[in-house]
Amino acid sequence: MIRVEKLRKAYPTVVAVDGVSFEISAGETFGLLGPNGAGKTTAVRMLVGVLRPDAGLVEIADGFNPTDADARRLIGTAPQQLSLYDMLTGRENLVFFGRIYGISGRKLRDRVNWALDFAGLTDRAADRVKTYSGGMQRRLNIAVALLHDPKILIFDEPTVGVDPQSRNRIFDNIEKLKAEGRTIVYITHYMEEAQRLCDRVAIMDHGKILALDTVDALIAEHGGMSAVTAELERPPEDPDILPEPLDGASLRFDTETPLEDVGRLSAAGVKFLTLKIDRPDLETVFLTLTGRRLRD
Amino acid sequence: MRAVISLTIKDLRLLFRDRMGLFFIIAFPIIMGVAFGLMYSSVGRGASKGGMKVGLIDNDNSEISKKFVENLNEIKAIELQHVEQANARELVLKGRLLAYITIPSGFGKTAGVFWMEPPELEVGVDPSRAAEAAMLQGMLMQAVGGLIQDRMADTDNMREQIGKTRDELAGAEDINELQRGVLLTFFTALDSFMGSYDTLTAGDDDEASEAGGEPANKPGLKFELARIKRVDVSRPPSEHEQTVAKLRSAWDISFPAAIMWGVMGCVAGFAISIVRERSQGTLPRLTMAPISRTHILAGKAGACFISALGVITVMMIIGRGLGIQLARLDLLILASLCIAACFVGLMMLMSVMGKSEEAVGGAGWAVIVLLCMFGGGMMPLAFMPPFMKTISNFSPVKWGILAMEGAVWRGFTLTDMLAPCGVLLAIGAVSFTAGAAIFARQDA
Repeated sequence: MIRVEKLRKAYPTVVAVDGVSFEISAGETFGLLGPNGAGKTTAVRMLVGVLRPDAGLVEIADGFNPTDADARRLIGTAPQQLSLYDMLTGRENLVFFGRIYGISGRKLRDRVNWALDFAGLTDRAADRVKTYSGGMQRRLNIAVALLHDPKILIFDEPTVGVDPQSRNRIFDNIEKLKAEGRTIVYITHYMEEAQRLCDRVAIMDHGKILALDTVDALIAEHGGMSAVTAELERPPEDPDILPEPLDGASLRFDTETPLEDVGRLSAAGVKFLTLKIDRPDLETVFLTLTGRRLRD
Repeated sequence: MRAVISLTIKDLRLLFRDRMGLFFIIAFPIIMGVAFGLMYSSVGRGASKGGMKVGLIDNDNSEISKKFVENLNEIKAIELQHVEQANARELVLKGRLLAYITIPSGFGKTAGVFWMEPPELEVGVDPSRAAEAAMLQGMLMQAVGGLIQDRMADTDNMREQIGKTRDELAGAEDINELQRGVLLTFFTALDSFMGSYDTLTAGDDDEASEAGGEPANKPGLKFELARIKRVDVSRPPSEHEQTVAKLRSAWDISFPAAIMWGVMGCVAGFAISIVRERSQGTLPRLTMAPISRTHILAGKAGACFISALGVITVMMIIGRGLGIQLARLDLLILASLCIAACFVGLMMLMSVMGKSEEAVGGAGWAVIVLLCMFGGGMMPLAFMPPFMKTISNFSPVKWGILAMEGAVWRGFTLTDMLAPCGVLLAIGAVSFTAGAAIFARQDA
């Protein structure tokens, strides 16, 4: 559905995107994960045709160039910055953007009603956007992107600055869209969001893609071992069955198969008072790949 | 086209939703325009009483000096106040008077007698009001001219003066015999002429009395330095001239400039709105939509164009209420369309002069002030030095005022309108193209 090849964009003082390549299949949810300034938004702006790359290629929907206005009809984008007219009502915003996308008449009315319902804003449709909470504005921002029923959806940091309730609603909505089989590009610097929503994730830093795969594969390849920490009821009769020596009653060891190892110890008669398994996550992956944390 | 209409409607809707923005785009320019109109119209109404406050000290108190004061009082632009010599200078320095005039003692002896040494009037003027002081000087000469006319009209007095002069000449020791002979011959001839004139005009006065009319003031020579007939060039002479003259308003002159201020204010507001779209994120969203940047600009230009026309229309309605009359409605529509088109182009150029609302707002108003200053929007072009008049050709304000005046009172034909309208459209096209090119290169 989307093909990006050796994409490059440089500004006078920085190379924002440096030779980025990836492909996204139809119906896939693709995460672009990286810290602020990694080049994610610049990459997205080239993806939607707003920015022309210095070099490289972007193709959407089997050969369309997103710099062509008509090709942009296939894409719905919810930008990171709220992009709404706050002096217009929620409905007026949707009607305006719907017309800009060429929708009119009964279809426009139906789509606007659907989008308001999707965003949970039907009751507030006649209120000006400036009276909405941050979460409501964020949901409307997403609804505008869905109005013209695009095949490809791009969400750029859609949960920034929203309350937990709105955040969960946004997740639910995106999962619904995913279930409908839409192709989604999800840009975030929250690893837990990428882990929850994305089929595959590209980790970006300094304009380059450092790793790209499924979440599990990335963790398996770059995440290292799980850490098991436990308090034992009493030391085992045969201390050799423990992978690491006891420190008092405390046991701590690293393993690639934590559940299997814990099961084996239990079967050997080891009684656990407490047990904690720390599996590696995308944060660990990022730390391994870059030497720093995502939110540094 | 639908997208452009949607963008235009959206901008107009936003304009009407934002009360403060609406005030600055529509109401503020109108207020400013009316204020300028009032200012200009009071300048144009120079004939009204109280234009120049002048202090007067009459140290002569003769019949002639009183006649001179009477002549000055007849000039409507001057408001005379009798003041004391001791504080006259201070009143001028404090700005309460434009000037003071001291009539010296002995003024009546020689004032208005053209062959005698004229008396010296002392005039102290406010140095910061040089133009008005120059006008005052002309008005003083006009009042003295009135004295000459009065003297000539009073033949008895004139013959008495001539007799005295002849006696003085006869006994004068500072002239030679040849000069004495020539001058005595001249004054004898003049005395003889004045005497004959009385005899000749006596019959006319009798006829006037018999016809029931007033006789001429008194027997004497009717003398005028010049007869000036003031013609209103703003109206073609016609059988309705009397009616037209009643409808004439100083606003005819002042309002075209006022309208330009209104349009400029509107343009400044829209220039800022483009930057606001960028900063609030709606411009990036629009650039992601299936429309081109040309559509976005066309929508913004459409809204600005309609607003500018709205400002012109509202101000013309106000102007009509104040007494403006319209020479040709079709030319007014043409002028309005060309002005709106020109300033839409300027709006486009202003909008790319900075990347923040503050930058564009500041730069925009700076440009407006300069264009108005050089274009005759602040000071009539006639008062400008030659180099500024040359520069004014580059200001669309000048051409906008000319086009409006052409439609309102200059009686332009369609051919006459081609020059100002052509220049306006050219400036608009060049500005819009340059602005759009820079906008296209800017990152949304």
